Amino acid sequence: MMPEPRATRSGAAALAAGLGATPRADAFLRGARETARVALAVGAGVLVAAGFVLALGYDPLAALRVMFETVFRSWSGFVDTVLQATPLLLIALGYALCYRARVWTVGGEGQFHLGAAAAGLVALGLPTATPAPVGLTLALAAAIAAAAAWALVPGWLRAHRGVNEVVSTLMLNFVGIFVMSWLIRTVLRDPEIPLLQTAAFPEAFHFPVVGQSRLHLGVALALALVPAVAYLANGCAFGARAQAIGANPRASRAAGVDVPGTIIALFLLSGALAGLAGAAQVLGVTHRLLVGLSHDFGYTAVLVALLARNHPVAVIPAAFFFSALVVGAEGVQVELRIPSDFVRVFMGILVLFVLAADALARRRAP
Amino acid sequence: MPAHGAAAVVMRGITKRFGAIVANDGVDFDLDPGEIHGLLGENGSGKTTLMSILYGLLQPDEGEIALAGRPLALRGPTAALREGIAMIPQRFRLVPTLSVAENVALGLEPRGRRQGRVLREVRGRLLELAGRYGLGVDPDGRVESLSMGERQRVEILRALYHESRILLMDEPTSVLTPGEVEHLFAMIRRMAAEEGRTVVLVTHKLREVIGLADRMTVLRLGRKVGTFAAAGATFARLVEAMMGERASAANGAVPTRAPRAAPRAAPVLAVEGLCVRPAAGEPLVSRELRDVGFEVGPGEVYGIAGVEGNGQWELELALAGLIAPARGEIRVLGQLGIPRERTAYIPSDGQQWGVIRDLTLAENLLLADAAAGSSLSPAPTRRPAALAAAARAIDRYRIVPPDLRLRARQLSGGNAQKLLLARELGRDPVLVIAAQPTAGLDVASAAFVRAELRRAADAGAAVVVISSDLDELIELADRIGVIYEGALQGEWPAESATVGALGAAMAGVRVQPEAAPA
Amino acid sequence: MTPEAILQLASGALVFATNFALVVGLAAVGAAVTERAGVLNLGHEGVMLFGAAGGFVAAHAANDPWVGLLGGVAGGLALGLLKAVWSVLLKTEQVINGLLLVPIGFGLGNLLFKHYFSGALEPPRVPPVAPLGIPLLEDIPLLGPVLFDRSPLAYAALALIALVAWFLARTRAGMTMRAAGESPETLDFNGIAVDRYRFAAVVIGTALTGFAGALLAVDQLHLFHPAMTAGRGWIAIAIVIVGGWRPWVCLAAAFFFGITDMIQFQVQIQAVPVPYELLLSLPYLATVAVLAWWHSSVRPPAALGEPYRR
Repeated sequence: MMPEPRATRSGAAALAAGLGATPRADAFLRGARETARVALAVGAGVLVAAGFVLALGYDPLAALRVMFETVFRSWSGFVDTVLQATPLLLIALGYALCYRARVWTVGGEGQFHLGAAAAGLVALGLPTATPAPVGLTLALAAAIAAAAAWALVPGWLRAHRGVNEVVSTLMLNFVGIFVMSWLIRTVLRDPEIPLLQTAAFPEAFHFPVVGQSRLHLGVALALALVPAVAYLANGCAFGARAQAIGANPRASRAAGVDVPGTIIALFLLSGALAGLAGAAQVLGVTHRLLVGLSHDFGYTAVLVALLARNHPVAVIPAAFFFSALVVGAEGVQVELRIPSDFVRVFMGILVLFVLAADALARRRAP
Repeated sequence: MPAHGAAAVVMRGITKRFGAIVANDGVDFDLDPGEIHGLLGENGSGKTTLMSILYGLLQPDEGEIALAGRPLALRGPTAALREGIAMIPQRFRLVPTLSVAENVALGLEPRGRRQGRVLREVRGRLLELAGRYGLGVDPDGRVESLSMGERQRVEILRALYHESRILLMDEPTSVLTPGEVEHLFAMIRRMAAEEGRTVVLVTHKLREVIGLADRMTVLRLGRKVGTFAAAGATFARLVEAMMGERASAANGAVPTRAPRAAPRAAPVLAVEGLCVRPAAGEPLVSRELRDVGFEVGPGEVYGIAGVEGNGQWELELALAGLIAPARGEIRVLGQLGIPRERTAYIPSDGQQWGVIRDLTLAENLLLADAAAGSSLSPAPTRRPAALAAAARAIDRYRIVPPDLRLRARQLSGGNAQKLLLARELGRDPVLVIAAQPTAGLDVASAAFVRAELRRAADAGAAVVVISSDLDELIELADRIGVIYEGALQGEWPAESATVGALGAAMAGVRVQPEAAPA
Repeated sequence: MTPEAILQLASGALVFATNFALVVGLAAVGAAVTERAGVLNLGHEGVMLFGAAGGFVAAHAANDPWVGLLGGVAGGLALGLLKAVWSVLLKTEQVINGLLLVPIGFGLGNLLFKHYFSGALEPPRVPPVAPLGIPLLEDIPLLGPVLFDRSPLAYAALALIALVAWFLARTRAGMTMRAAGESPETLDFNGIAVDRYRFAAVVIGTALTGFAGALLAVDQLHLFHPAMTAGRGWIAIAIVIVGGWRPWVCLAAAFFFGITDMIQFQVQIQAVPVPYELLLSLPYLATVAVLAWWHSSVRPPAALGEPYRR
């Protein structure tokens, strides 16, 4: 038991604790320090990856060049990157909300597929005369509802039975993908084409796009949701409760926080966001349901959220960055014959370094 | 290892720092062979740190230790045990899922021997030791099924197993009934007088040690104030040494109670037939509560005395609304259930259930608001009015360092408890449940906490204080109930609550209280 | 169906189930060791895949299945070191650093396979190992061929499980490792280095899972496929909970899971009119159901998931 410290003047104590003189300056300092840490970790990760690529007998600088060109040199590459970043962004937003409360859901992949399936059902099931805004809204609503319902099962199990949510959401991911596959194979199968996919959605039920590009409404929706999620995470009472639960669920409970209710709400929110991502993908990009709809978005989004350290706003650059990596890796595979698997390793190593940087920082200033 | 009896221990100039806090500041400490030495000081004075250094758990930043004239470099507890120094810690260090013998076998040297042989050996010697010292224990029983007193026996047996000549006991009486304390002291006397072992009794409870120790050393704020031989040590001198100028102000000064209003209003808290049972789905409950019933009126302080492990934890959980009773009712202001927003709950286990260390002071203070407020309303920490209230609370409760943006883990124990109190009492509660509210606190903080609880009662709340500190309860409560093995043994009004009567009840002796209410 | 056909069916099913049980059970035992010491490792799926890749490549290169098993162990050890450093030394969040082993393990595993077999014209295979029959026992009807006429690699896996069970229950090091997960403060108080035992437990756990992956590739499927583990690593994590962190119970639980998996396979073959996606989902749904059912009646190691700090 440590003896009582002698009282110090508030300013001195604040500075000693590494705080700014005012809350505003304090927040800025903290943000700047954290960004610097992440940048350092990313730099270290890039160096390690470069070394690894070199050891395998390839040229890391060439790889970097090809990646950059694939993403930024052509308009189509850039659009691809943005389009792939959108589901990552949406799903990662949901994960970020949950991870702050130490609720480790990885169910985005399954919820994505269910959202897509629901949107597809609506798009193919509604009479084509339905006005577009009504149809799209219904499709989105159905997607959100279906995905949130899918998240409710592991959510309830975690909140009331303490069931490990990583395993339960993961198992349900497999099942969710199977559900969509079944729909494609049976109910919604396109009878004219021998491929495993549905018929194309009616024109009316495509997302509107910007001019002639492929940039669809989903991108705008995703970006618009960021401030909303940021408010949920940091600005409102719900976020304060989630944060407390992440720091100490028992003490939160003792203080009167509704822990099970908050946890279930978190699952529902993340499910809704992932479902929205699925709907956006089918309504904005593929315009039909097909196998292979997701390029592991639900799993890459985990890494995106972790890289963004669960800050909703930071998810935007993180999602774009990882999307660029994936798109760039395809180019590298085509041009330099380096298998695109290295990008998964790279992403994992990056987040490991970010974790390490955080741990070391904590050690120096407890 | 010393061949016969203990050897003299000399600690010189021991200094130990934890960041900015100096826990031990140039402390000199001597032990004569075969003496009983009391190490006194309030909570936070550095007693446990000093003994942890002697036991090798901590390394001093400066200073030396010598045993029988030979300098010691204790790099860890293993080295200390080899030198014959053993520690019986305040919070027991036993693995609950292992048996008594397995616990004693942990880390026994030489390390490489086979499990079966070691356990056989341990079992045999344990039984022998247990018989010799009258410390009955089943070597194959799992520790988790033992009572607190029994676990302490295991700790003592472990020290004896290592043939330790120097025993460091840290607050050994906190978990014992008055009867068990007598038994322990008798054993200590025997070990010192007949076997020549040295026993250090680390405690803040002056009264216990005065009749027992040969010499007493007092620490205050990390420094040694002095060493007193039993002959010249009076209560007053020791108190003054322990607390300096604050002696008269802080110690024993109880705010006089407002006289009880004669007709009792309807009870605020009514507990009836409360039964709690361990169940598969509820890991928090390990003991039973059997048919507990009592009532607390507005402005009343109801104390619940008892040795830890007799069901207080379960009672606390039930009163705070954290577990559902198997049978029975808890009514507050006539309604079933606990109104969490108007109830102040001070958990006994502050580490796990109290202040949240990774959150800031502001976030901790405003957690009650965040819990109750509507989900989408702005977070309390973003509302200037709430922040102002929090700043006022810090001021009022004299929490140090007084910076809302600091993380709570920077606070000392006393300040953390004050923070908790500030948050909970800030609800303007109708009911206060305070469990072990002053455990581990220094005298000043403890007095502050008690005064606040009293103040809450004076403001009309019903206050329940669950404590194993009899003196505290006798000072604070209007009525005291004793909990033993999950049942309330009886109720004593303040006037007839004596240590003797309560102590007997805590040990399970069925005593008819003189004026037991219906 | 004729009695012979039923017997054939049952026998095939049991072989399938025991194969599943060995791989998943071994990985579960590895996970159990790690968790009993107090460290949570959620990356077993990645470790298993990496072990499968390493094992397959090693077996192919040395033309020896036993070298393949060693290769799997080596792969598991490598990832285990990574996990141990991040969990025990750096004390970062165990859930995350374990999860990260999945993309890392999958990526490295596939990279290894593609790099080694970059010039291959057709999918490489590893020859099956001749079964080792135990005389007399192998003649027992039905159970005989299933249990007592299997490849020596399978027996090795079983022996490994027995070794670990004995280690945990009957050796001092094992007891200390268990104590590290229940009450690390006690070990510290006795002068025992908690982190050392936890580090070892992590590495042992991943080594076992790597072995399991190699077993899958070299002894059971005789090939490598980027997603060949198909969730086995995840199911192993669930099995640890169901099996109460006890090695033999975990093996038994894995066996029953194998039977579930086999049922859906058989039902598919028998052309029962149920959507085959539903059948494929069965093991995953079963996992969730079992976790939900079992969860209140098991008690995990008290210090699981929390890094130990003085």
